[in-house]
Amino acid sequence: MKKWYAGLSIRRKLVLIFVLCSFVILFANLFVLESLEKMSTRIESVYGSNVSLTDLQEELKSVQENMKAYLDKKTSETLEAYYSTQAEYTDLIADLNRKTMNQESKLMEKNIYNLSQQYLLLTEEAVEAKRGRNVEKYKSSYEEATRLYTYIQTCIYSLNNEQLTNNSRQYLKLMEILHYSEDINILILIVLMLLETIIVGYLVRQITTPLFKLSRAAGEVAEGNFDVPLPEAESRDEVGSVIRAFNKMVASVKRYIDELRKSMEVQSRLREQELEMETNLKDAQLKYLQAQINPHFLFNTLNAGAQLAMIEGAENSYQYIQNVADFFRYNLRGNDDVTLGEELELIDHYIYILNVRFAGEIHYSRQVEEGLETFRMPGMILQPIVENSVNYGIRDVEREKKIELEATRMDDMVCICIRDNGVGILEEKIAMIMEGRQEISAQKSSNGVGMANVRKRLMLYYGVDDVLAINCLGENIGTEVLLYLPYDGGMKE
Amino acid sequence: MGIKRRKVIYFLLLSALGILFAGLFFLHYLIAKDVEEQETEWKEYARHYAFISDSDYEEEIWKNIYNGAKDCGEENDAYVEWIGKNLVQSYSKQELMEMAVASGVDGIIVEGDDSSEMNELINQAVENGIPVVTVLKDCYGSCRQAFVGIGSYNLGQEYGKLLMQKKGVQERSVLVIINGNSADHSEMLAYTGFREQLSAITNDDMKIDTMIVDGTSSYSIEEEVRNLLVDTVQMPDFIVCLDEQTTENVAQLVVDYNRVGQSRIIGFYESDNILSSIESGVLEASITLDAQEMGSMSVQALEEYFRTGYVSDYIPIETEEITLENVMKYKTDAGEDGL
Repeated sequence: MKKWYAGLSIRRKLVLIFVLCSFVILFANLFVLESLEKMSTRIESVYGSNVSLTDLQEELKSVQENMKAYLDKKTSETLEAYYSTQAEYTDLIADLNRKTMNQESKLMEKNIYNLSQQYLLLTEEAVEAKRGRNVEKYKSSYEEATRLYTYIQTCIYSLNNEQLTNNSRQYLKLMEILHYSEDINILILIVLMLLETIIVGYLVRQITTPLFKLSRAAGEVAEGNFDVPLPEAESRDEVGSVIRAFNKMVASVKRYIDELRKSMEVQSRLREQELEMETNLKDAQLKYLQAQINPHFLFNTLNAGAQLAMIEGAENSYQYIQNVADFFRYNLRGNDDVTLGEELELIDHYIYILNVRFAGEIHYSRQVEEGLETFRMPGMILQPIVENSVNYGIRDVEREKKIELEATRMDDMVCICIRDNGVGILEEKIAMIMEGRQEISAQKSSNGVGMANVRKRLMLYYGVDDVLAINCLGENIGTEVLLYLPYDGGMKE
Repeated sequence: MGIKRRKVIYFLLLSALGILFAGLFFLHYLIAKDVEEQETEWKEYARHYAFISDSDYEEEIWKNIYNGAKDCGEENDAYVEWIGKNLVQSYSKQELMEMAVASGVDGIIVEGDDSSEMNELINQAVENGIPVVTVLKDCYGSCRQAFVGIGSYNLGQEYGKLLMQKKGVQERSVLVIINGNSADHSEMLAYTGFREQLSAITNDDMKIDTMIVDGTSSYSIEEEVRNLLVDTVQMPDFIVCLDEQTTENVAQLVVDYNRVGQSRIIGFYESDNILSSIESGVLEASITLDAQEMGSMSVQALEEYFRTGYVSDYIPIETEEITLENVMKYKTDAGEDGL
């Protein structure tokens, strides 16, 4: 049944619900109408017995009158009338009850019947006596019959009265029942209406619930959530088809999106590979370029130049190229940890190169305490300081350009002082360098290592903060850079 | 749809259906019950007896006799009809007898009297094959099958005995109120019995007066008794009433005219009013007999006659005396009988 119902189309279902409800209402109404009809028929027939009793009374009166008329006139017409009314009256009383019953009116009917029989017998006797001219007989029969006639009349009248009372009671009772049944009918119709509402609500719900589920799922899908639980298509009606189609659609859209995602992943991987290759190429190019500017290559080239100069007997050129080569060689080796002697040697080369370039203008002098040449320190510390002195201190000075370097031992410290007689340095600049804010040597002309860099490397190397001090000796008097290097740290090697 | 909700819906459906069917069945029942009431109430009986009394249909004693007869008839498949009770016109006992005979009943229970008319009617009925039983009062000389009750003469004697029991030394005057119905000499007969009983028992000079009242028309007894009470200066020591109606009237008037205690009143029967009057001391005593038993015996006599073709001529009913001592017993009996 359920399966059959589920298989119906929505239109059929709706029609079925409507027809079902209509039939229920129709039958209930028919029932109610039938009961009301029964009641009204009963009510209509209530007073029927009174009517028939009145007829009986009338007929009895006619019998009596016709008998009297015959006894008075003795005509054939009156005799005929008597017989006809007598026959009619006999017919009428035939309907009366003849049994002894415990109901007063039934009993009364019996009495009336018997009295009437007796009465008819007497009238017959009277009429017969009249015909036989037996005056005495017909007189006594007539008197007796008349007495019975009044009895019967009283009885009928009483019965009529009683029945009227009974019928009125009956009528009232029927009316009461009628009122009851009206109330009950209203109740039945109300209950029926409720019942219909529930049934229709239930059936319509069965139709619409899948629709609600579908719409909720569709809303979720529209929001982009493809993982919603899909509604089940229970019925095989239109809604069921739509749900199945929707489910199929969602599944295929999901599959399509998955495929799309996969293909996009492949594409992006390809692109990544491409980028990697490009990077590698750049790297290779860089490596190639780097290889081109290999200092060894440069150094070897310079050596070759020096040997050529020596072969040709150009002593100065040889000397110069040799110094340049040595200067670069120092830069080339790992300069993590060197001796003060090596640092001083680098400065010698640097000053020699500068003096060749600047025609021996710079007067460099140094005083190093005995035994400090082997003091170990980080490399490329002194050269940048000297370079700064040259570039910012003495370059534009007209007078004799002097750079002095002193290395002395003070208790457990090695103090290295580099002093020039240049333009001096502004206090702000000193503060900047000490705070590491500005890299003075980070200029194109520099070979790349600035004062701040020097200070930082020293601090890291020794683990001490006060490693460098810069003093301005006065404007156009000169600048002094002091390094305080812990002797233990320097000699720890 | 949740399980709970579904349960609620099923519940609603079931209850709605229940109410619907209950309503339909109730409607059906109402109509069916009405039809049933009309049809099953009727019961058919083998015999139809007529019950005829001259007296008021409201008189307690006749009601009780009729009820006794009816109940007994019920047990014997016979219906006892109180002829004339349901007629719009009131008929005399004789007319009712005539009617009963013409109606062709199977048996007649009638309050007898000594009139020749009644005698003739009874004979006529018996001639027509209808057995007749007289009850409470007899019809001497008729062909009636049986008489159930107490003979009037005997009843008078019972009064005499009771009076002698109650009488004090100084009490000598007695007034007997006789309901002098023209055709009925039964109370006169009772008076005779009473008088003879008195003279047989005592040597005292009793002053016995009679007052004959006419009980045929309504309220005539009441009027005459009222005159007695108003006019009489010296009330008699005893007033004797020989029937229920007179007893009730006298008891009521004695109270109305403030004559309570001036005469000792001996009444008849045990109606509610009479019992209350005994209880309150208005009546001294009352002579009664079991009316229901009387009715029952009448029907039994008819039944016996039908069975055997013979029944004893006189079926006596014992009299009882109600006084202040035993009045409560009668009151409760009456209460139990629902009368």
